[in-house]
Amino acid sequence: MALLSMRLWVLLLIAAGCAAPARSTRFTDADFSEIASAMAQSLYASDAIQNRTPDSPLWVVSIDKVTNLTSDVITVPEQWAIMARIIGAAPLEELDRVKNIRFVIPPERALALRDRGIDDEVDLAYGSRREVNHTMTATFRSVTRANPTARTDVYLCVFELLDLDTGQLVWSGSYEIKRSAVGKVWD
Amino acid sequence: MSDGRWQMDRVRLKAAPLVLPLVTMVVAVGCQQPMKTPAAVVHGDYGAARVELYRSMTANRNDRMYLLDRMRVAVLTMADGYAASAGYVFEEVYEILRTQGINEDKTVESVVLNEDLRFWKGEPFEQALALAFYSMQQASLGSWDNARAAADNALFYLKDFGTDDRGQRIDTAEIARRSLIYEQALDRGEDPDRALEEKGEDYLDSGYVAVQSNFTLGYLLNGVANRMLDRPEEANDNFRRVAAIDPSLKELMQSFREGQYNTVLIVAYGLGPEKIGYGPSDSLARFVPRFRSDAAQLSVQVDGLPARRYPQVLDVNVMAADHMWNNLADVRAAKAVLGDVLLGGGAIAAGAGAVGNSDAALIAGASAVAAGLFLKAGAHVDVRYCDVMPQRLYAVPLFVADQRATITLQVDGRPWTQLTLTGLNPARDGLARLRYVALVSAGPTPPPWATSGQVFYGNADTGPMPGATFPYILGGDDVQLPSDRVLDDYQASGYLTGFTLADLNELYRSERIAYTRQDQGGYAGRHVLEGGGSLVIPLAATAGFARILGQVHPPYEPQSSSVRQAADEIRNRN
Repeated sequence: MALLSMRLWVLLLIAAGCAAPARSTRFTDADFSEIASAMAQSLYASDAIQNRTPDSPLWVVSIDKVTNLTSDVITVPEQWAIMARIIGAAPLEELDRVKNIRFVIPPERALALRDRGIDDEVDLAYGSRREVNHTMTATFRSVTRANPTARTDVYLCVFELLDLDTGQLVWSGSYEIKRSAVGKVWD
Repeated sequence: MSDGRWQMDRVRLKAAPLVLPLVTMVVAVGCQQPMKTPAAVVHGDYGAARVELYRSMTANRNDRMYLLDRMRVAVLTMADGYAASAGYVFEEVYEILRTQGINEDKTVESVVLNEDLRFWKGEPFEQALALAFYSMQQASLGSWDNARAAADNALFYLKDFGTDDRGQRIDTAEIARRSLIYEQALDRGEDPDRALEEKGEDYLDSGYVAVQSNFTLGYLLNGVANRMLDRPEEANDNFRRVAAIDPSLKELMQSFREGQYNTVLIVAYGLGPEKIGYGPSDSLARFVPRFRSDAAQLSVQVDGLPARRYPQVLDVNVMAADHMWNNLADVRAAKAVLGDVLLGGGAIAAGAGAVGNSDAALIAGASAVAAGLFLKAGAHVDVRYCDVMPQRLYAVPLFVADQRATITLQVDGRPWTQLTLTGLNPARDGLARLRYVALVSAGPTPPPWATSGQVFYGNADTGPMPGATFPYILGGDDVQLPSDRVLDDYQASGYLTGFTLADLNELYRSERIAYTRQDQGGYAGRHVLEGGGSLVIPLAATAGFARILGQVHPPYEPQSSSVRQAADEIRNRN
């Protein structure tokens, strides 16, 4: 027993010793998944969505990519992917049938995809169904503290679903992430 | 033990663990070839240069050249107007630049898996420039939020070691000398700075003041990006900062802050300075100009209207010469191995003061042995650098009325830099288009394509050429991607009348011509018009666009029998 206990202590010490300090404050893929998952959960559990029925007035929600006001570059595909993950967290057909909600992408995005020959990503009934009355947006901001040997970024990611007819905020959710890194910034 | 003996032992102790790895390092460095900047670069033939470098990029993340290779390719790809392809490369550059402490400890293993050699991350000025280039790359594609983020990262704090008695910025040799004097004062108990002694820190880590960046280009890009994002206060803060750093840019910043513009040109000329060794055994590094600095302005003429002149926003020669923009890795290495040689010998000894004990000669001798190792290795400081950075940059806010506009640029007094830009489709949404434009840097006259001001081939940006049109690979003047609309144009001209779109695609496929950069693994190769296998064109109003589409190229030479046959049929019919 004593031997086992000692081994566990050794393992713990090794693990502690091996835990390398973070070297970057950048977003990771895991962050994006976590954000999307939390926001999807918040959105679909919200009263705004839960109270809807097949007879509710049609919502056509235009989704836009993340607006990145952080100090980290988030590539455009990543900006779209975050939104796609949120939308993709619920079965779209079911949303349409049970909640009478349809998601569409902005025209410029649709045209860009069509120009690249990615027609399968474009809703073919796009034109007739594009009476957009809601918009879903996301804005990521950050506060950065840095000196020559350390940096901390606190990211605040805010998502909003807006009724374009009334200007009313139908739903909003936010997510915070703090990232610290040590080491010379430009060694 | 006398102070002198202690000091001798200290030198040994200090040098012993360092000499071997450093010699290993310098041997490795000594084996390096000096940087070879492709000659094509100064002639504006960025296509040949970028593709050659791209193909020779190391794929090995262990390799010290890993980042340098990518930085060079990314900068040249921007010069060629291929912003999307540059982005593909910049993503890796950015990821590495955002990794802190890369040369400190095991992070090196995780990033480069090499404990023996320093990973080339570039001097701070090279890193800031690379991040500014990434900002321009993102802005070129209209991604202003990312342009802002990248520019923001370029504005990191700098270490200011001060000035000399005459108010001149001190150089790295002087920093090394001061650092040694500091250490020796500590050893003798004559610590000039008690705080340093208490902390036991190195002068290089503590003898500086952390200061805000003076990187004018970074602030300018940040300001423009914020203006495009409708954040006027942050934009104006950045423009004001530029004017405070360089008062000669005050009027220009006012134009960026208040002017009506839908186009921003960042114009580059020349090649940045070369990194060379100097001091004892060439153990220290400095940057010397390859293109001289001067105050020549950029003349900009839109549609033949009277030219306006714009001042430089950045002189890379000046930036690189300032110790604040150098990482001082050379100083650390030289100080550790050469020690008192830095104080007792060589050109930098003057005024350094003497080592005040009888073992000074021994110490100097030990250091000379180390210096000898440097020499024996045929080595000097690591002189690799990003050799394709420009010498200077200008920034121009413009209002361009429509796509037919021509914009002619020229650095005053350098006629070979004349370049006429065409095809820019101005933004209509209240925003601006940003273009990075690299001028030809070698004279005496500009190449014909630079001054033609014309587009000779139908393309996706400016559309088909007037009159009958058919594909370049069949002897025509069109290099648009095949589509139903494009095929309709050909057939309306009386060509390829029996063809379907699938047939046309098959012709390109048989020549192994790629339509998109994604088809080419994310990076567009040389254009078909220049003998390559890509139909991807550069952004309009760039040097690459002018070179590829602004001159008449030799006829295409088909490789496949199907294209040869189709071309023959058209030729015989004509």
